[in-house]
Parts: sequence; C-alpha cells; structure tokens
Amino acid sequence: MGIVKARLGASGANPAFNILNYAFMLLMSVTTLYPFVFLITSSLSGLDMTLGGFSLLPRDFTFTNYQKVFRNPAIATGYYNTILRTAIGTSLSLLVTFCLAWPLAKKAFPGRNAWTALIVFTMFFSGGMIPAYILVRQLHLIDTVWALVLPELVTAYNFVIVRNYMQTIPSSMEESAKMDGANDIVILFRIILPVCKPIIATIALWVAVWHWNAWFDSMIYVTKASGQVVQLVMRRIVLEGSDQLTQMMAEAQRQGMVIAPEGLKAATIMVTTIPILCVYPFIQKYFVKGVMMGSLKG
Amino acid sequence: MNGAFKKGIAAAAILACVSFAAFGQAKMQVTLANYQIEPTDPDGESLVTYGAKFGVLFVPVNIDNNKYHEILNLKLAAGEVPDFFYLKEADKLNNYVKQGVAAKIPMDMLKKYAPNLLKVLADNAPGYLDMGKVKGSLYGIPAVNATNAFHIPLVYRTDWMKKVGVTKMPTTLTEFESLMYKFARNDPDGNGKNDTYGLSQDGLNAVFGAFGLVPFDHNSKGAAGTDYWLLKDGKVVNASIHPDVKKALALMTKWYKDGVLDPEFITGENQGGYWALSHAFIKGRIGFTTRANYYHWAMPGVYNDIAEDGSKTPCQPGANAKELIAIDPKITIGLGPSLMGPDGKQGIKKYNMLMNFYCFGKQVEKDPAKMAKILAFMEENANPDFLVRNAIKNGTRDKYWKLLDLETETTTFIPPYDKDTGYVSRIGATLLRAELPFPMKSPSNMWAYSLGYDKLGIDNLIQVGLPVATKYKADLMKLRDEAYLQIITGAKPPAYFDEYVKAYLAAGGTEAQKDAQAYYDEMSAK
Amino acid sequence: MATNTDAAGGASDSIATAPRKQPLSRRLWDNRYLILLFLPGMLYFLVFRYVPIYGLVIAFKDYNFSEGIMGSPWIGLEVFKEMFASHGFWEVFKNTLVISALQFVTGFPAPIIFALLLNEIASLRPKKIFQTISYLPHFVSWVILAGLFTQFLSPSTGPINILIQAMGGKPIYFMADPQWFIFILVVTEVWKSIGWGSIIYLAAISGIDAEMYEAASIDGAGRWVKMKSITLPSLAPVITIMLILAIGKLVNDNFDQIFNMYNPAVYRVSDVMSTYLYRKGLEDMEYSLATAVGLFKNVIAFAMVIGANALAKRINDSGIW
Repeated sequence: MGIVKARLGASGANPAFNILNYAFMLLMSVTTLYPFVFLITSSLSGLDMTLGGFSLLPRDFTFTNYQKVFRNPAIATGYYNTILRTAIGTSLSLLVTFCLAWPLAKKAFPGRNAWTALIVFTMFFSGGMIPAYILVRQLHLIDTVWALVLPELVTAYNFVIVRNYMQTIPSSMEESAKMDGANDIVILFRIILPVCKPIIATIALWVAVWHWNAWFDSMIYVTKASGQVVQLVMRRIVLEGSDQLTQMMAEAQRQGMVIAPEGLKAATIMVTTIPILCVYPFIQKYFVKGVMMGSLKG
Repeated sequence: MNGAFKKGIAAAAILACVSFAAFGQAKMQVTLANYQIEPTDPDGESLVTYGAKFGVLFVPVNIDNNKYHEILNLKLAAGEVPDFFYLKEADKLNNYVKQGVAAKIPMDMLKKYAPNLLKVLADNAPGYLDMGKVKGSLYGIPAVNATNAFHIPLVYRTDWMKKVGVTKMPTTLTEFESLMYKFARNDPDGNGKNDTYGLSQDGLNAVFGAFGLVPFDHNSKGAAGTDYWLLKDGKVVNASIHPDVKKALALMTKWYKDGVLDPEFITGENQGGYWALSHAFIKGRIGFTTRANYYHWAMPGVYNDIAEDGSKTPCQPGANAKELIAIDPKITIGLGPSLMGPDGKQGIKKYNMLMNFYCFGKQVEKDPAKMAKILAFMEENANPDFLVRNAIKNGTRDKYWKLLDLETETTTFIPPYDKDTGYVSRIGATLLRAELPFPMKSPSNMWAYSLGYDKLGIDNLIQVGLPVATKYKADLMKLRDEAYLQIITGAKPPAYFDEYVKAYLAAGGTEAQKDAQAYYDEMSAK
Repeated sequence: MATNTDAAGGASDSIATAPRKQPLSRRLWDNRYLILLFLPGMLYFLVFRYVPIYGLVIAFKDYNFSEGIMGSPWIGLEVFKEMFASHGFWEVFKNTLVISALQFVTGFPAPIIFALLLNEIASLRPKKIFQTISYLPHFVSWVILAGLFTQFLSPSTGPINILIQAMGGKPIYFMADPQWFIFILVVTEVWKSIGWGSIIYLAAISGIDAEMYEAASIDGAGRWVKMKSITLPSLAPVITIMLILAIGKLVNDNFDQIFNMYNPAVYRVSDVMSTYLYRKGLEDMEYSLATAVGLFKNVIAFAMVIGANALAKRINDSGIW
C-alpha cells in the first residue's frame, strides 16, 4: 500500500483531471461490459436476445440453457482435460521460455545473436499444418496431453518479450551473487526471476488464457472421446443446431429438439469463460507469491 | 491417466496399422469417417452390434464435422486414408478423385451388394447417382437431402394484408408488387409512422423466381454460396448473367427508390443470433420474406403432430413463429405460392438436393471383399423396412427411440435421449449412417406438400463441382454481388448490367460456362 | 532431420565467426550452466519449429495427397505468378495494408495511453475493477460482436443514429458506406483489444522501482512530471519491442472481424488477404496458394521487422537482437 500512496502522492493532484479520468474509465467500462452482460441475459433467455432491442433483461427467463449445457456427459472430462493442459502447458511453457530467454539475454553467451535470429525467424516462417501433424504423429503424441502442450510450448513472441525484459535488469544484481560463488542456474531462480514477477504474471496470463481457449489442436490431435477439451465439447453443443444442411438437423429443428440456440451459445460461453476470469486473479496472486517464496527459500 | 494414455496409443496404433489390411487378424477392419456430432470410441454400441452382424471390426476415425475437410485432408496427407469417408461438400468430389484418394466403385458391385440402395436412388432421386461419376466412373454415392425438395417459403404478414385490404395471397408478380407498395405506404402496423417496408434481402428471391431465376445465394457470405446454372436456348448459362436478371433488377431499383425495398437490405435480414431468424420481419419492419425453411414458420397447430400416446396434437411453433408470438400473439402470417412473372415463368429458389458423397478409400479399390462389407451397411440404410433402417441410423429400438406411428414413420426419442442429440454419435450410429431419399411421410412434410412447396422449385441444372468453374467461382460471385448492389441502389444505371456481364466473362466466366457446358453435354449424352 | 543439422551447423558457423577473446572450448565451459538452461528451449525450436519447416516447399509444388509434400511435382514460381496475376490480388493486398496501417496507428498507442491513465487512478479497488472489465471484450467472439454492432449502428433503429438525428444530423449507414466502414473496423478493433493489450504495459509499470516516485515526490514533482520523467522512460524498452513486433503484423488482417462484418457494399475497401484466401480455399484444396500467400506476406513482414529493429538500435540501442 505504501507504494501506491507514494506513487500517486497527493502533490500536484488535479481534481479536474481525476474527474475526467474516472469519467473516461466509466464510459469504457460500460461499453466493454455491455456485450458481456448481453451474453449473460441471453444465456438466461428462452427467446433470442438479438430480437429484444437493446434491453438487457432476459426474454422468457429460464435456466434451460444451463441445464442443457451441464447435462452433457462430456463436460466433466472436458473440464478435466482443459485444466490439465492449462496447468501443464502454462508451467512448462514458463519454465522453458524463461530458461531459454536468460542465457540469450546475456551478452557473453556464445552465438547469442545467431540463436535469437533463428528463433525470431520462426515467428514468420512455419511449415504449416501438414508437416506439423505428421511430426506429432511420428512422435506418438496423438491422443496424449503432450500433443496439446508441446507444439506451442514456446512462442518466439513471448520469448522476445521476456528476453527484452531481462535485458533491462541491471547486471549489478547478479554480480554480487557471482562473488558468493552461485552458478547461473541458481542466479536465474534466486535473483532474476523474482525481479521478473510482472512479466511472469503477464506471460502466464497469456499462455493460460491461450490454453484455456484452444480447441483446434485438440480437434486435430485428440481423437478419443475421453480426451476432448471443454471448449470443444462446448463448441459441439453450440454448433449442433447450426448445420442447416443435414437432414438429421432439419428433423431435429422441426421437432423442437434444438432450443433457443442463441441462449445456448451464450450459456456455453459463460460456462467456459467465467472460470478463467474468476480464477485468474487468484492464480496471479499466489503464483507470483510462490515464485517469491521459492526464491527466498532457495 | 496412464491407462487412458495407453489406451489412446493403442487406438492410434490400430489406426496406423489399418492401411496394411491383411494384418493376419481374424476380423477385417473397416475404418469409418462420417458425419459426427461427438466422437466415439471403438466400443461404441452400434459399431459393436453392426460389426458383429457384418463380421467386421468397425474402427472410428473421429473427425469433427465443423472442420471436416480440413482434418480429413490432414489425415489423407499423413497417409491415413479411411476405408469409408463422406465428403461434406459435394462439389469437392472432383478434387478428391484427381488427388487419387477415392476408389472407383464398380456398378456390378452395387447391383450385387446394394440393390435396395440403387432402387431408392432411382425411384426417388433419378439422375443423382450419375452426379457421383467422374469421367464416366462412379466414385461417390450421393447423399440426397429429401427435405430440400421443398422450395424456400414465401411468408406474408396476413394481419398486415387485412389492414391494407388485400385478402388473397399474391400469385403473380403484379399482385405482389401492389401488395408490397401497400405494405410500405398504407401504414400496415397502424402506428401512424412511415416506418414499414415491403421486403428486404431475402424477399428478392421471390422476384428473381418470377423470372425463373436463382441468380444469387443470399446466405452466402464472402461467396461461400452455390452457383446456379440453367438452360437458355439449349445452352448452359450461369443464372447470374442471364439477360432476364436485368428485368428483375430494374424492378428492384424502382422499389428501392420508392422505399418499398428496405434500404438496409444490404446488411441482411438476420442480425446475429440463430441463422434462420429474420429480424426485420419479426420486428415488423417488413411484411414479406423468404428466409430459412417452411418449418421455421409453422405457427402452432397449422398441422397436427403425433403425440406420445399416438393421438394427434397441434404442432409446436417453428423458430420464427415462436419469436413472433412472443412479440405479439395477435400477429398472423401465411405461406403463399411462388409468383408468376410477366413472361409466364413461375418458380422460386430451392436448395440443391445433392448434399454429400460417400466415398471409399483408394485402397478399397483392390479389396472387393472390403467393398462388399461397406456396401452391406450402406444397404442396411436402404432397407425397405423403416424399423430396420431407423435402427442403424438411431440405435436400438425401444432403448433409444420408440415407434409412435408406422404410417407416418413418426418416432420419438426415449428420455434422456430426447434432450441429448449427441448420443447417436457417441454410440457410433452416425458413422454407419447414409442419407437416402426415402419418401417423406411426417406430418410436417405433409403440411409442406399441402402448400404445394414440392412443386415449382427451380432446379439447379448442375449441382456438382466443376473443376474449371470452381476455380473462378468465388471471384465471379464477388463481382456479381457488387454489381447487383450498385444497380439496385442506383449507384450505377441499369445498363451497367451489360458491363457486369462483360466483366464476368472476362474474369473467368467464359471458361466456367465452357466447363459447365462440357459437363452437361457429357451427362445428357447418356 | 536434414533441417535439424543444417540449423545447428549454421549456428556453429556464426559462433566461429563471432569475435572471440578466448578459445571456444573455454567459453563453452564458462557458460556451461547457461548452456544447460538454453538447451531444452533450443531443442524445442529445432524439433517443433524447424523440422516441419520443409512444408514451405508446398508453395513451389503442385501439392497432391497421394504423392505427399516431397513427392509432389515441382512447379517453380507458377503459384506466385498465378497469384500476382489473379483477379483482385493487388486490391486485397492494398486493402489489407490500409486497414492494418490505420489499426496500427490508433491501436498501438491506445493501450499505452490506457495503461497510463489507469495508473493514475489512485485507489486500488476501482483500478482493479476497471482493468478487469477492460479485458472482457477479448473473450467475446467477433461473430457475436458483429451482430451487436450491426444493430447498434443501424441507420433507422440504432441508438447511435437516433442520437445523430436528435442532434439534427442525417442518419449514417455505417456498415454500408466504405469510408465509415473502415472507420468502424478501426474503432471496434481498438475497443476490443485496448484492455487486453494494456496488460504488458501495466506489468512494466508495476515493475518500476517505487523509490523513484518517492524521490520525485520529495522533490515536489507533479503527476505530469513523474509520468514524463519516470513512467514513460521506464516503459521505453517494452514500447520499442512491442512496436517492432506490431510492425511485423502490418501485413496481417483480422479475418474474424472483417469476415463477420463486411457485405458487398464495402467489398471494394474491405476485401482483404485473409478473406481472399478463404474464398480461394473454399473452391479447392488450395494448399499451394495458401502457403504462397503466407510466404509472400511473411517475407515482407520479416523484412519490415529487420528494418524496424535496425532503426530502433540506431535510435536508442534496443531491439529484438
């Protein structure tokens, strides 16, 4: 709290600016909140909310959409698989990204520029889906969680940002540790990572949200029913009624089996988005704290 | 977890071995890729049941239907060609044949192992089997969507009609035009404001139809649409450059200027939400539309369904009807016939009945025993006994579904499967399913017949993908959409149509028409 | 595997040519712990990013499933020639550049300004709430947003136009007017990404040493001075890097946004590379064309990033490498 006070010290506080700033933030919040609230009410509506003008009250209030979502037998395993890939994927990605970025952030590392160029190159050039699929298949990763974790383990983009951040750390910090005879691995984990707290949290957020929302890789690499991620399960619930070309769906629509597809779509978005939105502040808090603790203990 | 992973690897290994068919295993393996809502495991109930029945081991190749071709192509690229796979997009058959992944299907095999299938196709969709031929040989068995025999609906606000003093459904374009003007000018919603229009984007189909044309696919976003072909003086012409389009456009330009055509037709009638909804119609902005299918507009009780106990019960409202009732229960709508145009032509757009193709992997070409097994389960789908074919489509009778009425072939799903459409895929039934054009008998179909919607739909002369025409299709459709729009909104004079035709022919249209003509000649030579 | 050894060979060449003070073996031994840290990540890049890179040759081949990537016949620059000659290719390329450039000019500074303004909110709780709410649009897909925008911007029933009319203006058909449509594309993109994009800057701000602010406060520096002399200079490295990365994205366009919002009335200005490719992909299995377009775009992007990086190095001695 002391930090906050000091940073925004009362000196020079300009009430007019404050009011304007708050007004702007409120306006932003209203506009960004609107579509989300729209989806919430839509998920609680039996009728299509797109026909309700701009009102945010549910039309024909109902929980049917959520019932339908939670009745799906695949949803529990879906959550399990998503949490598994997000947990493994995020921690492994952070570990490898930071371990790779640190040596390449140091001027003395042999071939540093060549390696960095090699990595940045992959930001622009890739062989596309076919060779990637063949590789994953040859490594026998199909139908395992590793097919969802390994192909996108480190992105050049995140690597560049982390390395750039590490380069701004003054070298005086590690020098004293070097004097005490600590090796580079110890220095990274005990001295450098604690300073990297904000960037760790940022990359963790990016990677975790990416993993949480990813479904296409699961569609390609996981074929067994018990390995599906929740986004894919949800996608199927949502798209079930949209395939206007199949006779079967025409039949289902006629018999009223596909109900309020828009409400259903909204409910699935809620069910998949809210967990990551709610959980993230906690992850961030404890995760960052954990890094700190680890560095103090180690 | 570990066990699950091992199982997964084992399944992958099975898949990997399948291409070496003679693996010395007791049962022949048949790998299947088909329409699926959810993935299934090899122990899916239907796969096991029918595997035992036909003496094969059915192995699912789970491919998500939403990205079907993308993922199928990946598998093909990695050399995993399923023994049986469907082509979700029928116009891709040519390409798969060219790429050497689809097997030739000899006619005598079909005659020997699937006589019922041939009969169903010949009886109810004559000529469709020929669409599966490339250079004279059969590569794909067509999946035919019988419901698309009904043309798109012509939906009117009948309460508005009463208000403006019209009692009879329009049957000619002249009557239609006069009604549209009344909808726009005589304040049919009685709110004292000049805020109504006759029609919007979807409604244009009815006008083109009165000239015997389906020149554009309004549901096509960025040109994902269907190309329509027709005959003019014995020559194949793309509907979008047919000279009569000019007449229809002239009418639309006039209506746009007079405020009869909704100026917001550009962004379409549907504004997000369920695809079948017409927001403009439901919100009382326009009085006529042709959006979606007839059953989306069924008001409660327009026909009777069969209830759980076999008695008759008023039908449930369709998706649009439900929204209309929620807005105002006093709203009434009616479905009218297609319109007769000034040149004596009458009709309206209908979707292609050709939906998908069922193909066999190239390796099956040299394995007649396997082909016979695949044909055996397809034949089961063509069984004259409704109960037999419904069992392969929907799973065991009285476990998943029960019969309510044999005459109308009405069934109902047994709870909890009534609210769980995905089960059919989970048990593997959709992998063994083939959509065939059996006569339609359900009460809602009977309603469509009673409206006469099986007649006067405009058939697309060529429903398959043509190698050269497809190459130019998307760019040509972009040209078309821009030109039509500019003419209707008055940004370009009516004579601009001739320029558009020139541009069309120059941008690949000439080659496309040549391609279509060649295909037509080849087909009609038989 | 050939790619693998090539890459490793190329790298050791550059090690050999690098200016050295000590023998290589000594330098390697000195850096043994760093090399240990470096190996897993580099191995990852070699296996998962460089082994599959042979797929790029599809752009120069008549790709065919039964013969595979390596077996398909070479056709040289045929696909590129066809692409450059194809109807409307240069138009969509130009549209992509125009839309991306406008989105870059507004969308790049917006999250920085937003982060700075958010940082000026004194109390912690509203700050957190505003921040979290600003993320929300990141989680809502363009399909849904497009429907909402169309309704909001409707010339007859949309609130924006009702407001314009109330103030005596004439209604504007935003979605069908080419100029306005581009404006809408830019505004909605900025709106959707501003909160999510500010995360990195907020993180960098939170990493600034609090003592610097305290010292400045003691010196009597006001809010504006502190922002100018402490916050912005501290953000400079991250802004530089984000700028270089953003320049690399100038040749990309947002398919989901444009595809869901455009219509024939605005094709002329909004048909872009990705929608073009989508159209082409629908017709056929156009792997070769897709790879060629990607290659064309990325060669440009790569060149621009190298240029931007060189410039950044000359100006303030920071860059990607």
